[in-house]
Amino acid sequence: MRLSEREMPLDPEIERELEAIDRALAGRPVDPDLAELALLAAEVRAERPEPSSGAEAVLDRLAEEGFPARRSDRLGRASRRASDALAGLRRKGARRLIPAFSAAAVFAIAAAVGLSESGIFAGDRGGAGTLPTTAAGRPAVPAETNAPRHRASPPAVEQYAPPAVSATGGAPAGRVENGARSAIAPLALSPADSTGRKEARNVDLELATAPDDFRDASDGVLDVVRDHHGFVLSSHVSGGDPSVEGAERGRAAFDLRIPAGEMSAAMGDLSDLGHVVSRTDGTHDITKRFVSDRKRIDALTAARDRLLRQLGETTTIAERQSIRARLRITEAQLASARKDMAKARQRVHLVPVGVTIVADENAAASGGAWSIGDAFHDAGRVLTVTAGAALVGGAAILPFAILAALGVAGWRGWARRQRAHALDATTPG
Amino acid sequence: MEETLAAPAVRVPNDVEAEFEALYRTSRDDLYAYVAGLLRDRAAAEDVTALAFERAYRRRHSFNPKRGTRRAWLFGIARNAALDELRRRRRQATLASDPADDAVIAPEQGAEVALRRAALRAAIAALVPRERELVALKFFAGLTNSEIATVIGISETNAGTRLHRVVEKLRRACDEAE
Repeated sequence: MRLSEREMPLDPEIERELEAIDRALAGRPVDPDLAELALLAAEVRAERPEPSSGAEAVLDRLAEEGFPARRSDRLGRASRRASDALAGLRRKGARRLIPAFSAAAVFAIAAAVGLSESGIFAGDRGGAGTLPTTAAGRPAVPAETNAPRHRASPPAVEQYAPPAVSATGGAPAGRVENGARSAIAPLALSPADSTGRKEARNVDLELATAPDDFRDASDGVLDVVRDHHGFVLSSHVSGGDPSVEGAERGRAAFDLRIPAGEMSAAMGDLSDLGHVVSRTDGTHDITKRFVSDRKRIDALTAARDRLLRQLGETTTIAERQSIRARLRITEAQLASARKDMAKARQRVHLVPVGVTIVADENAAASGGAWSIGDAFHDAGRVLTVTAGAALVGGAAILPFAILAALGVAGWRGWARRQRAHALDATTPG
Repeated sequence: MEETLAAPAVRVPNDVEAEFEALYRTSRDDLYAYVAGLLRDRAAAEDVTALAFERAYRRRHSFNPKRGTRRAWLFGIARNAALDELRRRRRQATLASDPADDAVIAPEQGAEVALRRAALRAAIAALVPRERELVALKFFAGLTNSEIATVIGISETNAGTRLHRVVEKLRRACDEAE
């Protein structure tokens, strides 16, 4: 409403005259001093155009037919059909529920997106709430499920003869702690030599299981290693026997070597054995070491060949003895260089994996029944993703909604101005 | 012997239908008078009146009592339809109260009355369109000031002020004729 049209009290005299007009039009008496005004009102009223009998008949017929839309008015007819179709809902008060229905629809869509993105139904082992996450915290493709085959009774301590491999430490690339559950997907690291670079990886995984599942989980590590063609460098398992008092809190430590090509699947299977308490991934670039070893081998090979040629050409015994001595040294150096090269290759192709399993009363059975804690955890995850999806959806829709609202408001304003202009454009008769 | 009595297949109108029917019965002539006063063309007024009722019937379920009376709602629809018609035609029509109305004046009323009526008619015709619309809404259609305010989108006080101004103009015109 414009400023000039603000609500202000009418002058009492004007109000009295307006009331007199109303009374006159209604056929009621007015104050004597306003009789002339009443007469004027009646005279103006007498100028009122009346519909012809033909017009009345047409209108009455249309009223009986329910005021059908004209044949040329397609929009009107469509609007009429839609309005009639919605009339039943309106009568039941459904209009008031439109905001609730809209909100429910938005929430349902967001929830569907949330469930889809949270991966709850993409997990393994009978729907146990799982959260596929990479070490960097990104959602990851669920790992291949390869349920370990558990042994009946594991040895308390097992010791395997370690091959001639020495672990090379590396900078941690990422870490997942407390919360990531069984089906944590492995890091999708590129093969060591696919790009010419040589990378030495190492992974440390800490799992927690319920005391009753501790033995099975420990056995499962060995099964996973065997299934993925790796080997156990060393292992130590202690406690975890429910039948022995005070030995419930079992602990197992494994030093594994897993072929690089099997890492993804192996880590997925290892993660299935219990709750992932933490996971640390490290990658160490040893390309320089490879290059250095290669140059060293090439140089020593060339030196050996040179010595062999000299040996063939020499004539004196003293020179031959001297060359042979140098040749022995060179060949020893060459063997050493080749051994270093082999170690480096082995370091790339066999990834050291440290697995620690701890029996914990608070840890739910790995891959077992879906606990109430899992439900809360998954619910939180779903709500988080749902809220995110709703936020993103809202952000995407908001500009269009604003534009649409502005468009509707603009169109209405334009129509209103056009109508006002049409009224003002008519000239007095 | 048992006898089954079939119920007559008569469509029973619901509340909304009944209210609209009542609205039609009480507002038909008033609406026509308003539209005719606005358009000053009887034939066009008939069409626009029918169109207004058709639109109102289509939207009968969307009427909101909080926004005003049913009559105000109906006249708002009719106003838009009439102004759309004016926009479409952009031509000037003759005043609905045509010269034939002169015959309505009884001979016994005398020349003075005839003169006064002619002056009033001329004064109405000389009003600017917005003022003429007020006359049509108030005197032809019989709307209250509150309903007029709703129809043309102004405050009730403003509607009263404008209406009083128009009445003053008409009063002066009649006084001058005397």
